[in-house]
Amino acid sequence: AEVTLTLHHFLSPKAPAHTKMLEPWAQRIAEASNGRIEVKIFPSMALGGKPPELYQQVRDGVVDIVWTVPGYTPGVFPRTEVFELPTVHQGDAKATNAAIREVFPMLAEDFTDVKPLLVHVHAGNALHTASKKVTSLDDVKGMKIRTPSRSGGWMIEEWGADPVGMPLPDLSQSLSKGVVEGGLVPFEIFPPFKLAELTKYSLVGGGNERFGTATFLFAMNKDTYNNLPDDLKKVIDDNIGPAFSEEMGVVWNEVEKPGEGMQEKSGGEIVHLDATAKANFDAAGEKVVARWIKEVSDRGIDGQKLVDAARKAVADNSK
Amino acid sequence: MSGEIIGILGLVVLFALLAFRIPVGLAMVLVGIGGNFALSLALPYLRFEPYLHQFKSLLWNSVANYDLSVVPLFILMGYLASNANLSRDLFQGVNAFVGKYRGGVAMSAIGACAGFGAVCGSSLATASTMGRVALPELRRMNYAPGFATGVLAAGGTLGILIPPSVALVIYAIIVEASILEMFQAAIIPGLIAVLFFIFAIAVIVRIKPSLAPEAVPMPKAERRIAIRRLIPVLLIFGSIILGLGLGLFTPTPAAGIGVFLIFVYGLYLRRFGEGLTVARIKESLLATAVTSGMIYFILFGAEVLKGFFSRAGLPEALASWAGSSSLDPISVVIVMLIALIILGCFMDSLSMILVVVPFLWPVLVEINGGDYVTAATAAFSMDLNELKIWFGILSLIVIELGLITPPVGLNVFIISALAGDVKMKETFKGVMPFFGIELVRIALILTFPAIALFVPRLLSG
Amino acid sequence: MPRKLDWIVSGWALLAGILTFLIVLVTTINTAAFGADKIARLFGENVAGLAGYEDFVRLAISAVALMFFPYCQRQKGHVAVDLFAERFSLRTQIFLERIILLLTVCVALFLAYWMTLGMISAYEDFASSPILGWPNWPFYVPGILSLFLWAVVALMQLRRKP
Ligand code: NA
Ligand code: NA
Repeated sequence: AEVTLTLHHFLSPKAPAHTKMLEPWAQRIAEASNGRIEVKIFPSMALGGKPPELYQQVRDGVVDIVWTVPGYTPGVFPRTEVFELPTVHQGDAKATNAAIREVFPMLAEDFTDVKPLLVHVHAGNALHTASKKVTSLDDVKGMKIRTPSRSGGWMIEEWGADPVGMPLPDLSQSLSKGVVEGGLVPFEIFPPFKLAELTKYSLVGGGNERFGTATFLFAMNKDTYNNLPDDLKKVIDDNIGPAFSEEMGVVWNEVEKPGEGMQEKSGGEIVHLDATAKANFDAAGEKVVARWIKEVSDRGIDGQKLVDAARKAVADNSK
Repeated sequence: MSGEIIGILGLVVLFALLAFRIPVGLAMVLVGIGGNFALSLALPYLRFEPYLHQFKSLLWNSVANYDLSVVPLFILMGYLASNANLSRDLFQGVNAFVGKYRGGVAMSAIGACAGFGAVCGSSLATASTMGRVALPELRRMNYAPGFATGVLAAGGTLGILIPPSVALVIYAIIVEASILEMFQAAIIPGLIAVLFFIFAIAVIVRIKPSLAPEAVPMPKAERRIAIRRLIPVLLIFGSIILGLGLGLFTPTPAAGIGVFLIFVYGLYLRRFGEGLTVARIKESLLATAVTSGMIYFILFGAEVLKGFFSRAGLPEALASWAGSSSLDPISVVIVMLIALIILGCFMDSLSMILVVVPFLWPVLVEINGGDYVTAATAAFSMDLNELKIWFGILSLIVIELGLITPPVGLNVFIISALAGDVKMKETFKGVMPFFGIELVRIALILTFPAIALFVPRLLSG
Repeated sequence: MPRKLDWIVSGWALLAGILTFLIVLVTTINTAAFGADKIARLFGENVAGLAGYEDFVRLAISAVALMFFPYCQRQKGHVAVDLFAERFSLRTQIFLERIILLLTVCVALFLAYWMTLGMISAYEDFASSPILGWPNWPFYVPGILSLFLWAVVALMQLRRKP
């Protein structure tokens, strides 16, 4: 190939992100460029470093492309965090992906040092509990819950529960030992972490709404992109459009299904909040949003404007 | 030149540098950076100058790791226990019970090594601490010199399997296993080792009574004191291992509480003119600095080296070769273990885990049937998680055997140096029966993986 | 090794040791709170753990680990494999020793240089810890100082007449 691009990420080569998103994308680029671009994928941090370093690696050109989680480097992407907030994202990755595209100009300053290829979300966090059935906000009070992110921790606090931070691989045993009583994660990770056996209940909103989500960043080194000949630049640009964003929304909605099935098959239950209970959870979520707005204002960011725009875009795209 | 060939050359250079006594961590960093430079010449898309930017965050991120915080804590715990003379109390306490049998003092030394292993993360520290405590006693009782040093060198290896163990922590981090489950898996194999060693001593002194003198029972008053002192030590050490074993706490809290308890008890002992003085605390901290500094530097070196090997495509090539060939699974594991025993004669255990295991592990995963295989269809009849645990226990036992095999057996060096007048050859000869019985233990765990898997299975439901 | 440097290097490692005791204390409190919570639950009460405990341990240990390096060098604590180097002539061994020290100085300075750049970019990026929200960059400072101190120690060992 005329150009070889290295793509670095932290998941295993068997993970859905690798097989359903990154590999197909790499293939597409190879085909569209008639083999002039080869994208070599290095999964599992094979090129060295820890997951939080991926963003720096792509910015500094250590690698050409990364797929990473902005939440691993809190503080670095203050604007993009808006889509992780509870009550902003609902439960549909496709809708939120489209919303991100729509308001992207307002987020662009987070990404001035790289060429963003796609910013997307997963379907969202549900609350999976080992043994306690939660149907109202009162039920979660005092529970120890593994938090997925910074804003997730705030939300757990607002619920009157204790946020516990821990690496994902520790979650399984922590649940079985009662170190935590629940965790906020998507259903996607049920198969590898045996969460179906370890949790009895999974809590979501009445319409499968979730409690916040995580954003993902697929990005390319700026110089690498700028040094491509124009026709190859076009190949890249043609493959990062709305269709790609929508496709990934569908992929991330779909990867929830096996986990949801496992929870029901294992004799567990997916609990849907009723309207009153949901309103109470949302009220707690609103407090998180308010806290976030106050915090980003220290950095001169108009958080309210971002929240309003994000909410409107999510609503517009949820049809 | 292909990336894989550069990778293999890099491996050769690494061994050459090690042979010239270049410190392990330093050699890893040099080969990693040099290798990446060579790769950038052969494969231009792996640019060198940008690669260097990785060093902006690589060092900090490799030390800013919650899981690894147990390393200095476990090490500190061991040094504090040793400096507060808890190792002596342990040995004398066990001796109060079994000292009356022929070979009993040697058996006490094994028991105390195992007990001390429960607060100490490292084999070398276990060997040197217990060596200092038990060797004078064994010599005073007229045990044959080579037998005495052999027992202690072998007993020192118990430090690694009896949790907590730094080596198990590092292994768990490399293969992304749960540290707690690794600890739990080590409990039964560790106990088996203790029983086997004691059994070996009983047999040896029966065959060759000249090695161990007729036992002299401890005077009553002395015995009472020894037992009284044993109790608090057993309570502290026991609560750590029980807490870990039952999964009541995760490793860092266990280590933190362990240090705290030993520290408080050490201060309490000062009322009797013993325990932790300021000088001894200082000594423990400085010793912790040396051991932890060494470990952290090797960990960082391994991170740099890993970046080179995977860029070169080496582990991947090995795994895909293993996946496509039709190797007999158990034979592969046996070949790997033999290779580890041989390498263990020349390399230190930590760098073996860090350098060699990353090559072996992907091969095993491929042979087993990949990341998401279920126990029912897997080649080893266990899922990925259990494979991690089983192979980890096996390979760590084997790696630790390297500590007692010639020509480079660090435990043997340490104990011989402590003894002063015992030739290294004598110690190697004394350690051989234990080496032999270790092979039996390995064969058992190979044949019955449940020995390792039973406790974690039981505890994670 | 000059007396003063010796004093600084040991003091630096002891400072790291005191930080380690701080980690021990925080861990003990957090675990005790966890235990108390289990008991309190029997009576329908809750005891909260220390929020951001993991964050604290991670940041503190990042400083501690690197602060151990200079003292480790002072004690020549970096493990090496003695296979046949001991069979070389004394002159070769001394030569080898000097090469190793020189390489150590180079690596330490190399790492110090890049880590300084890393600190600057952590500062500019507002990189912070997930739960506590503490900025990361101040925790680079003890590391950078340690790397320089490490280089100085190795340099002094190099200067010493064999
Ligand atoms: Na279930
Ligand atoms: Na141990």
